[in-house]
Amino acid sequence: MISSRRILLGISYLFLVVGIVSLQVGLLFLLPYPYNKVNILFAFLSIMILLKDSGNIVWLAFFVHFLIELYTVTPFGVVLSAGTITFLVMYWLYRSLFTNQTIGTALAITLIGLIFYRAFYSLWFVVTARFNPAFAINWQPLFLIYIWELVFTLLITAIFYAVIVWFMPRFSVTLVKR
Amino acid sequence: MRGRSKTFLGILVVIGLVIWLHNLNATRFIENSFRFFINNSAAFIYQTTLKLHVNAVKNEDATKLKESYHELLTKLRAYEADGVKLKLLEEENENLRAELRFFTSTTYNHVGADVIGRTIDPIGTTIIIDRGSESGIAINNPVITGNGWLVGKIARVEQTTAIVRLINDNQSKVAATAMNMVKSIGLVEGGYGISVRMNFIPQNEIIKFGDIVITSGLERGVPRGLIIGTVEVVEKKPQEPFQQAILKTAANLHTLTSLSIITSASGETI
Repeated sequence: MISSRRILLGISYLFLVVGIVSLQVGLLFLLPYPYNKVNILFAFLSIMILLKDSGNIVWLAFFVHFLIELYTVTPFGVVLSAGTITFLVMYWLYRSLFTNQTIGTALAITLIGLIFYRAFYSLWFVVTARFNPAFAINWQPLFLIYIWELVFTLLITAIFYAVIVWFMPRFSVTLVKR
Repeated sequence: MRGRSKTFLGILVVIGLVIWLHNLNATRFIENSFRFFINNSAAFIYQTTLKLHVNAVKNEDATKLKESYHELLTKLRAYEADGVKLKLLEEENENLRAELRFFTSTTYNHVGADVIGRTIDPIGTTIIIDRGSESGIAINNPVITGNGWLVGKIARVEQTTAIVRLINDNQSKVAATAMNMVKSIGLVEGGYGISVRMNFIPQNEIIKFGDIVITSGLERGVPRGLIIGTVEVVEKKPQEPFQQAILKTAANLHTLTSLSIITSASGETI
């Protein structure tokens, strides 16, 4: 039997995710290039891995990337599969390799996750270009955009982490629960 | 390890199932429900932040003012805020009038739309509008603003929303003509939201700063004569067969609010 507390928590998460996606859609253009390349959703989910310390975050990532799919021009499934699998790998890394909640872990899983995510995403470009000669890829500016995204997303992750630590003293360098 | 393999396979199965259901349109109701909430909240946030972006109310040093001046200052700020709103309304009115003048002089069928948000993916340069297939919009329909200034093409269409790929997006390609002596033909391509270039201009044709670039009409669905921009810089390399021109777009792609989508020229299906 699902308690009312869990239902309320689920609804709160729903509103939180829809709110953050709306902010990303409606607000990010205000920033000039290259600051507008920051991936706020990715940073938010990375911090949630440390905060919740639960595999349910992978399903949260699934839901977030499902919402993102509604507003991209890539074929349906590219962003969803890339995002969900990336966060699964990030969660496994957090549980098996880093095993703590330091800022180093937050930045490391964000860095590895973003590289994995964009590698998976770029694979779609390569496959499309192979079957559609008109689909040309200009790798140099694309990698520049990836680098800016990486830099600013890591920065935002650090800021989110600092805010979390400020408000939650229990969120320290303790080991993850077994 | 075995547990992780099961988890990985399980997630792949769920993703595959969702993609399959999407292709069967079985998830349409759920997707439209989420779009409804996100579109409305994103539109509110976009319009609000656009107003802040246009202007800012200046604060004066209140310590130097006496109490009576505080009251006058509060009133002044209220008038300035009203002034910002008025300025935005005037700009929107002028934009709509320009679009009306453009369409009364042409035979295009068109649909008006408002911008409700911008790119959600840092890689793309796209905007979201509040019209979709219900309004007769189709993929690759050209999107314009003002006096027939091309801003992009429809990249994705849903029932009540659509995504416009702007001309400075890396995947944007538009067949174009420069209004120089020889009417050079080329391809206008975007550069990851930063630049717009006209490529494949024959090396022997003269193109210079200030030349206007328009759509050539050689592309299915995009009529001739939509203004793309003006030439800012010409790049020529002696050993290459083609030259390039960097363009300044006619429309300001950063403060788009209302647009028109050309669905067809007089009776022609695009």
